[in-house]
Order: sequence, then C-alpha cells, then structure tokens
Amino acid sequence: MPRKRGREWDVIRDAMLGASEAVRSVEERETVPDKACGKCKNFFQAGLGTTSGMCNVLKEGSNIESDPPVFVTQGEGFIAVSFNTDASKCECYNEMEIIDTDISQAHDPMVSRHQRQMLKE
Amino acid sequence: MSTKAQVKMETHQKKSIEELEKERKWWWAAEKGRSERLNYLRKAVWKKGRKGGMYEPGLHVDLEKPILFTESWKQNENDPVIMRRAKALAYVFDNITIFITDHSQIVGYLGTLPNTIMWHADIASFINEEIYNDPILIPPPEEESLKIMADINNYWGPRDSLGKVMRDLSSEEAVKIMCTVIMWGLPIGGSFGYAGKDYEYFMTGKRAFGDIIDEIQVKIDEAEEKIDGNPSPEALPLYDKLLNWEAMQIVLEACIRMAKRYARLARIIAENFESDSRRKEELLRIEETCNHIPAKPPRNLQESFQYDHFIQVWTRFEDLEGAWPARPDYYHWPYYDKDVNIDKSITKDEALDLIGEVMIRSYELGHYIPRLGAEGIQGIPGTYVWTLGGVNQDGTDACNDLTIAFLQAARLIRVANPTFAFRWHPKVKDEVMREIFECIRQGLGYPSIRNDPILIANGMYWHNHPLKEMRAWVHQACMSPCPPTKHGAQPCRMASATLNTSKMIEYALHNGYDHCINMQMGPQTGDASKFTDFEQLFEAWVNQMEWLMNFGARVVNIGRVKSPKYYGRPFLSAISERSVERGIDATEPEGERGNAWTTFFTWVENPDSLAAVKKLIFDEKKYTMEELIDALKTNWEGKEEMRLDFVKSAPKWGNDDDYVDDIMVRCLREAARHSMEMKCPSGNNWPALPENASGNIHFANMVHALPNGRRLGDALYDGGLSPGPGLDKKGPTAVLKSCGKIDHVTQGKSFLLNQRLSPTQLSGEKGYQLWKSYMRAWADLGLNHVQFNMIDDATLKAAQKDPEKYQEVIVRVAGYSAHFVDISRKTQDNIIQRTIQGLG
Repeated sequence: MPRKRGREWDVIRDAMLGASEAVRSVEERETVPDKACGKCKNFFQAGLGTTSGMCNVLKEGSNIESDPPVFVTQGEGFIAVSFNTDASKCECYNEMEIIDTDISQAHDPMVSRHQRQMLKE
Repeated sequence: MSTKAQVKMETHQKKSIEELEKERKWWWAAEKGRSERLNYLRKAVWKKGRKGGMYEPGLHVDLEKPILFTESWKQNENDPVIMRRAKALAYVFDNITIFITDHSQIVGYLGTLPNTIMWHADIASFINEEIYNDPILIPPPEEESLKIMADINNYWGPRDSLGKVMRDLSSEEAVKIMCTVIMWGLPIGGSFGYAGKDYEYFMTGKRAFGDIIDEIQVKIDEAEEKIDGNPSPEALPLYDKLLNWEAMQIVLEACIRMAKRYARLARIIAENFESDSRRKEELLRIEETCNHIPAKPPRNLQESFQYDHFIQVWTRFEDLEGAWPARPDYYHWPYYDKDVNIDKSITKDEALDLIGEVMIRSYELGHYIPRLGAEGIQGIPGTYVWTLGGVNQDGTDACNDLTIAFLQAARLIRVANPTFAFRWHPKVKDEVMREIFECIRQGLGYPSIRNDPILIANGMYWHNHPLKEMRAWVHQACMSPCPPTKHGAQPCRMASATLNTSKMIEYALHNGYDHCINMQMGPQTGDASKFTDFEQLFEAWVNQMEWLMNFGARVVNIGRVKSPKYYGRPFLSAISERSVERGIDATEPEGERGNAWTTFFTWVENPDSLAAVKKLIFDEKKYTMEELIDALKTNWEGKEEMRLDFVKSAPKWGNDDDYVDDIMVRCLREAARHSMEMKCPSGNNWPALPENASGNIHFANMVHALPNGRRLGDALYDGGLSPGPGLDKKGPTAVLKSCGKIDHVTQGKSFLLNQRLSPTQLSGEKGYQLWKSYMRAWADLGLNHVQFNMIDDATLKAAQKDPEKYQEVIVRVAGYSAHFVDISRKTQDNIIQRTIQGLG
C-alpha cells in the first residue's frame, strides 16, 4: 500500500494532536455542552487520552463548529473531535440513551465515557 | 513473658498457621507468620494499579514533580535538550519533598506522600489531558489543582515528546497509531516502555556513582584535550559527547545529594522525634547507608538493597518505566552470603525482613500510566517481573539461599507486584522446586517457570547474544529475556511494538477494512467472499501479518532513533557502560546488540479462525465464504446456530489436534520468516512474542467478530499459546503436546502459556509429585514458559460477590499477577472460565 503523506492525513493528525496541544482555560476544559460529541452514538473514544476521539460518520473536510457547518460523509479519513466539542449544529448528532460511566471496567470506545467532566453531568 | 508461656504462644501460633493453611486462608496465615515490621509495612502501603480505568479512591497525582521539572525547564531554555533534562531532574532531586515511612529500613519513593502517583508532564500531552480529566486523581483543593494542571498542560501541549515523533512519522501512520486499535503503547522514550539496566556495570560491587563520575571526568578531560588540539573531523562528535557526559555527571551528583537528604532526614527524625531506642538505631543506620551509597559501592545487604532501590526510583523519576528487569538473588547474593552466612552480622529472619521490605517498596511505586496501558495490565502499575534462579555465566546452578529467601518472603508479604519468573534448568535442586511449588500452591500465581536452556539458545539465535551474556539474562518485561550487559542491555523498548494481532485475520477477511472504526487500515488483499480455496485466505493473512508487523516495527524504529533528540535519559546513560564509554545517550542504538521483539497480543484467534474457515467452508463446504463474511459483518446477528457450529465443530488449538496445530505452526513459521526480514536500529531481528497481559480484555471491543465464533465485545483468548478458555477439552498433556509442536527457539522469542490447576488435587506431598512430573513433561517437550493459577472457582466467585472479604486473593492474569478484586469484571470472568486441568 502506498505511504500517504497527503494533506488529508495531515489534517486528521493535526486535529487529533491539537485536541491535547491547544491552550485552554479551566473553564473551556470543564464545560460540556448540552449536545457534546461525547454524548453522541457516533463518537469513538480514541485510545490515546480521554480528550480526543473520532466521528464514525463524518469524514475529513467536515466542520461542525463553523457557520454554516460542513458535513462530509464520503472519504477515507474521519474527523477528530473532543468529548466536549459542541455538537449543537451537527445534523448527524445522535444522542446516546445510556452512557457507560463505570470506570472500573475496560473501556468500550463506543459507549464508555470516563472523563471527570462527563461524570459530573 | 516466661519462656514456658512464650513456647506455648509460639506453638499456638504455629498451630494456627497450619490450620489456616489447611483451609487455604493464605493471607491470614501469612499475617501470623511475618514479623511485626513487615505486617505494618505491608498494610501501610497504597496500591497503585488501576481496576479497568479506575485508580483507588484516595490516590492523587503528585504535582511537585511536574511543577519543579517545568520550572527548571523554563529557566534553562537556551540549553540543549539533554542538558535541560539533566538540570530539570537534578532540580527535582534537590527540591522535592521526601519522607521516611515508619518502621521502614529502605527509603525512596516516587512522590511526596505515600498515596501520590508520579506524573511525567513532558512525555505526551495526550496523557496530560487524560490526567486532567481523571475522576479520582485531582488533589484537593480541586479548584486550585485544576488551575495548576491546566497551566502545566498548556505549557507542555506543544512541547511534548510524542507530538514531535508523531510529526516525524508519515501522517497516515500517526493517525493509525492514534486510533489505537492495532497497537498498544506510544513510540517514544518515556512511553511506558521497558528500560533494561546494565547491572553488570553498576551492580557487581566494582563501582558506584563516585567511581562513574571519575570515569566520566577522564573522558571529559581527554575529549577537551582533543578539541583544543588540531581541528579535525574526529573532534566534531566530541562536542555532543561532552554534553552527554556533563549531563550524566549533573544527574549522578544530584542523586548523591538526594541520598544525603534522606540521610539528614533520618538523623533529624532520630534526634528529634523518635523515643524508641531500637528505631533510633535503625534511623541512624539509614543515615549511614544513605551517606555511603550511591557514592560508594555497598558494603552489606541493606546498603545493596538501598543502592538498587534508589536506582530503580531515580530511573522512574526520569522516565515512565513500565517494567522492572531485575535479578535480585544473583546481584545481592554476595552481600546476603557475607552478612548471613559468613559474618553472621544479621540473622536469616532479619534478612527476610529486608527482602520483604524491598518487595513492598517496589509494590508501592507507581506513576500515572495512560488508560490504554492500564487496561492492558489491569491491577498493577507496571510489570515488575523479577528474575530468579538460572545459571551463572560458567553454566553452574545460580540458585542460592537468597533465591529461597525471596520465595519465602513472597509468601509472607503476598504482594501482586513485583512477581517472580524462575529460570528453570535441569540442575535446579529439589528444595528450590518445593519453594516454587509452595508459592504457586499458596495462590500467588508466581513464579512463572521459564526454560533456561531453551531461552539461552533463543537469545543467541535471534540476537546473536554470546553464550556467557545470555546466561546472565533477565526478564525485560513479562516474558522477554535480555542480558543485562554492556552491549546486550536494552535501554529503550517501547510498548508500541505490541500488536493486536487478531486484526491479521480480521483484515484478511475484510480486505484490510476495519469495521470497528469504519476505516481502511490494512492493505487491500482481496474480497474474501470470493476466495475459492484456503490458500487464498492464507496468502491474504500473510500479507496482513507482514503489514502489521512492519507497521509496529517501523514506528518503533523511528521513535527509537529520535529518542536521544527528544527524550534523552542522562541518568540511565550514566549507569550504562556503553553510554559512559562512548559519550552517547542510552537510548542511542549505537553499540547495542538489539533485543527487539513485537509482542503478539490476541494471537491464538488467528490459527483457530483459520482452522474454522478451512474445515467448515473449504473442506466440508457447510457454508460459503459469502455467508461467513456476511455473518461476521453483522456480528453473527441472527446466525447463532451458525456461530455455535464455528465454536463447536471447528478444531481448536490446545487439544493435540494436528489439523489446527499445523496451522498454528505454519502461522508462526511465516511470522518467524518475516521476523528475520525486519531489522531494528541495531540491524538485528524482530522476533514475535505471543502473550496478552490483559490486552485480551482491552481489545475486546476493538476486534470485530471472528470465525472462531467470537463476537465483537467477547473477551479474546488469554495467552500467547493458551487455548481459548474452556476450549481445551483433552486435558493438560494435550495442551502441552500442542505447544510442543512449536520450535521454541526458532519460531518466536517466547510464548506465554496459562494453566489452571486444582488446589485440592495438588495438596500435600502427592500434589507436589504430580506437579513435578507435569513439569518434567513440560521440560521434555521443550516449552519455554508456563504459569499457574491454583485457586478454585468457589473462592473466585465468592470474591466477585463479596469483594471486601477477599481483598488479598491474588491471581495470575497473564505475564503478571494481580489482586482479583483489582481487575475488571470481564477479566475476572475470563480467569474463571479457564479450564481447571486435572493432573495425573
């Protein structure tokens, strides 16, 4: 398989790294919007860290926080989002009925949310 | 108390222990058998492992180290990275709060209070964010701590080591790593990796830190003379070498100062706060010890243990070390022999107290490990697997009184970490084997047993380690042998060379597509629903296997060569002869023989799945490939009958059935062939090492349905060679015979085999003899590893129902042990489901 160093992968990598590299205030870190990616069935919690994750529906090029939001559903790479990304404008938002917050069990990327901020909800 | 009364009490105590042992109440028996000091120390310790993703309530992340480290880092921003790291570490050593635990004789801890966990903020911003988000660990007052932690995270966010390596890789590789469905760990120094130690350099009594500082000074003087001479290309590398040497000296000197801080604290407590004369004496002995070592070589057992413990603590101040390669009965033996047998300056019981405490001090060390790491080794903060037994460099039996003392101490203190792995060889005496059996019989789950002649040959075959060096080998982590020598020691093994190998068969069946994360991950090896014979599937599997192995090895190779630049280790370098001699960082591969391996998590699903497809689809034609792929994509939904057919009618590994065993051997042969094609930065091979830790639970939700009948979310098999739980139906000899069909020298680096035995059947002398004859069969078949759980289902199920009453039940999880109550429910169930083998 050819190695890819294309822009598409750069964008995804930088977005994944950016979630933990950005300068953010305590308030920004603590706030979980009513409709947050971490509460959505399409959020796949990344293994590296509990802040960032992947959207299982939206592909690279999407931007759910821009005005107007952009939705791309075709393509190879996903978009990286955080558990507390504001998803209020996302047309794919699909709220989970039950969130597994039992941190004593092994993590299921689809249903487990172990962030302190999510447990406060 | 009168002598008569004392004897009566001792008799009573002895009788009680026997009764308790008869009832298999091992913890209570141990409590009665150990000294008051060990009793206090054992109960005063805080566990640092995680249950699933959860730390024990009451634990806090320690903020002093990241605060001090960051302060120094900012103050020295114009320095090269290696000097900044050395100065920051020295600054921490000079300023961090220290304490001495009551009744202890060994000092040194990874934090400022016994309930704190170390945080290395400079490794990965991912981890920093995870710590910030942790529900348990924020120290009070929370609001104030969150502000401090946010500031630390904001500073290190764009400066961490991992982010730099991720940008050195191709962006596609970086993204695929960060998805973490195919690998476990991070490709950077400080990555919860395993740092081998050059024990032959610093632990043989020939030198200590003062001597090393002098050796380095000679190197510095020589280099400066050359630099000041006629300009030449040869002089140019000396500029970097000088930086490394100076960095080593800075840290070594800081270590000596830190030891003296402990000495001073011990004297302050003795003179001002201690009224008990015996304890005063102990504190003054601590003072004397810490004033002497690490500057000078140890003179007695306490100094030897203290020297070793300090080194282990300091390397963990420097890096997030996830393992603890050690061989304590070998390197501390001269001091034990001198103190106990020759000088008789301490009694055996006093030595036992020291040994027990050394293990407790190790048990309490823990730093924050990322959740994905914690889930793969549930219940412990790292695989502290200490090597016992084996042979001397001349081939003679290396077991001694200290080997036995460690095994006895383990039964008295019953910690889950460190555990032991015993290097069995044909000359091991019966008295040692009995001690080993007693540890297993008493439910510790350790020592695991390693086949020394096989593994010595293995290390020589894969890495060209010379015979004498291989005879000195220690466990680099759970399973992998490595010589602790100048060219053999492996200073930087990254856990990210751990592969979720069930993906090989999953991707072969789905054309490289990952249905868990909806993404093309592996190469496109063809639409499996169109495959018309088994060879087409096997060829696709080989391609996926090569891709996955290449991916893991390539990423680690890059991480490794970048480590000196991003994450140099001045302290580890200072205790490594190769680094001191050459003026290079320990993580620099130059002059290292290489001891690389790819850990194969979730391996046995491959042969079981391939065998199921071969038999039910291509041989018996009961189903088509199209039907199978369809069933797998929908996670067997609506196809339960078909799924059970794949579970029950397909042959399964571990039953001495050539049909599936031949496929296992064929898979390993292919992996071994490819292992020789991949090279580490030292130019040596990358053999495979099938084992699981608790990765079989961690990856359960990241491996899709498989043809062995497994559904998405089901626990994966538990060992590198262990049959699926409950699928080994033909008894323990059949398991051994299946495993014996593999060449344990040439077809991989090591293979983990879990076995459960019946505690009732193995009681008494008869039980020992049964186990011994089982071990003879194991050795005759040339297996390299086996480990045992010997706890009945009733106890484990009772512990699930009433965990408070069973806090101290220990089980063997994989290459490590854990307290049963400290592992997730799924892992507990997985252990209960393992077949209890009847021997004889």
